[in-house]
Amino acid sequence: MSFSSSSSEDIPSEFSRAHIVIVDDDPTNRVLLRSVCEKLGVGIIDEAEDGIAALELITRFQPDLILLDIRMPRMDGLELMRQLRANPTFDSLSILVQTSLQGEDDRVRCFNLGATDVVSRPFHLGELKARIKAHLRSAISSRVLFDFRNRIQAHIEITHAFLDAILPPPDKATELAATYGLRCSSVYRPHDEIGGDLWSLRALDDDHLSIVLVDASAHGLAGAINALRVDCLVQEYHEELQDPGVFLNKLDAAMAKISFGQLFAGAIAMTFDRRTGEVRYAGSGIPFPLFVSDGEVSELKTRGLPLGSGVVSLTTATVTLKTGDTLVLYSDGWSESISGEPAEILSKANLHRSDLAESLSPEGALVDDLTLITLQRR
Amino acid sequence: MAFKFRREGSDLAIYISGVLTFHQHKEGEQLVYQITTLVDSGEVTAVRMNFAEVLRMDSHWLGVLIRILRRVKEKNATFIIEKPNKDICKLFDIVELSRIAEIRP
Repeated sequence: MSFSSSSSEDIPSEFSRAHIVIVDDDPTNRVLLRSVCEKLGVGIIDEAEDGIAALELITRFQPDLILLDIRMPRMDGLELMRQLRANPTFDSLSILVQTSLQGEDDRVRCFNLGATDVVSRPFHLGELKARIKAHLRSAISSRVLFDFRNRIQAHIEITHAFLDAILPPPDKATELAATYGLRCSSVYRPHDEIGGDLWSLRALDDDHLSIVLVDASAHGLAGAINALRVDCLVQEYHEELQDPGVFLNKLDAAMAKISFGQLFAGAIAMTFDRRTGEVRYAGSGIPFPLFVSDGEVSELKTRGLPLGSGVVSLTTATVTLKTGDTLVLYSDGWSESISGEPAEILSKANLHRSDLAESLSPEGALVDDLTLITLQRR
Repeated sequence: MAFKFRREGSDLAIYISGVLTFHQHKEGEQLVYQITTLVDSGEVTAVRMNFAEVLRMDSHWLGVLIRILRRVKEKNATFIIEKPNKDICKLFDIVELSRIAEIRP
């Protein structure tokens, strides 16, 4: 941030919103320090006679800077610093200790207990003013950054809640899939706190269940915004899911219209028929789903340009699941985060685990958003 | 990541290096702008992007490539991607990029 000056003395106008607490048992010192602060244009100046009164003020108002005396009755400055620094809220609070203790050991002790700076008495007014100015500037910068971080964090939490509302909770997905004769397990892990992957499981009618997995471009907030935009379109066209190729072609055209060349997504759409075990599927711009039958792992080749390019032209393919056959759908966050080929890892896995997706998910940091869904015909 | 431009008559060669992910989105925008400006001016009729030094690429950069490709095609210019590594070839295979761009190993 930049500081603007309000007078020839180069006093930043931001100081008018600054808050200083003077902690000193000597009224004369308090008057002197208040006068210095007033000359610097500090907006709020509070005073405390000892550590106990100061602690109450500081805890209540979280000021920008403390001007702290050491020798005081009831609670001295050292104890006050000890208590403040033990509280994470005051980790970065600026504390300028003013002391008549001249020894190097005393100063070192002050710093060890959490002083930001130490100034000697008797005061050199010019030096005192300069130090107060420097610490206030730093405190205001920190406050601006802290406020900004809190605002961003709030935005992330709200977006997180939006995403949570559109993603199927794993237990609900398992329950719904079970009514169609499928064992379903799933893992969703964003790369940042929020991400651009999205998946859904919807009943089309009594016999058909649809599964859609989308990997929208970008991560974090941008990825989440893209995922939410795509979800609106998925909901708008979900009746087309009887034919996944047609569904994705429509999604592509709609995304191209609204994207301004900025919104792309890989996606796979499937429809499962519980009477016949037939899976109709189409995919575009996303890793090929894996199909495991009689211990053999194969890829369901679903090539196509990312949705949003406006030129996607997919046709629907079919595969039939026998009892025990397994399908694995995933975004590239999975294949990029595991060591080894997906098909190889799957060939060694115990496919009958109820937490199959969890067991296949890598531990540790991700390089991209990860969604992994396994479906097994029971 | 980094990129270098080299003009050879009406051919534009771009040498890209490093990792191409969403975190390099600013560089992506810069690349789209620079290439489309040259293609729009009519000075460039062929764009060659050399991927020999690209280590990894994500879906965001697929979007960047598609935006460049679209504009190049609109101007009837040619677009060639050279020397992508094995992982990037796999990504191009999944998205059938070879349908709309020439890819040279």
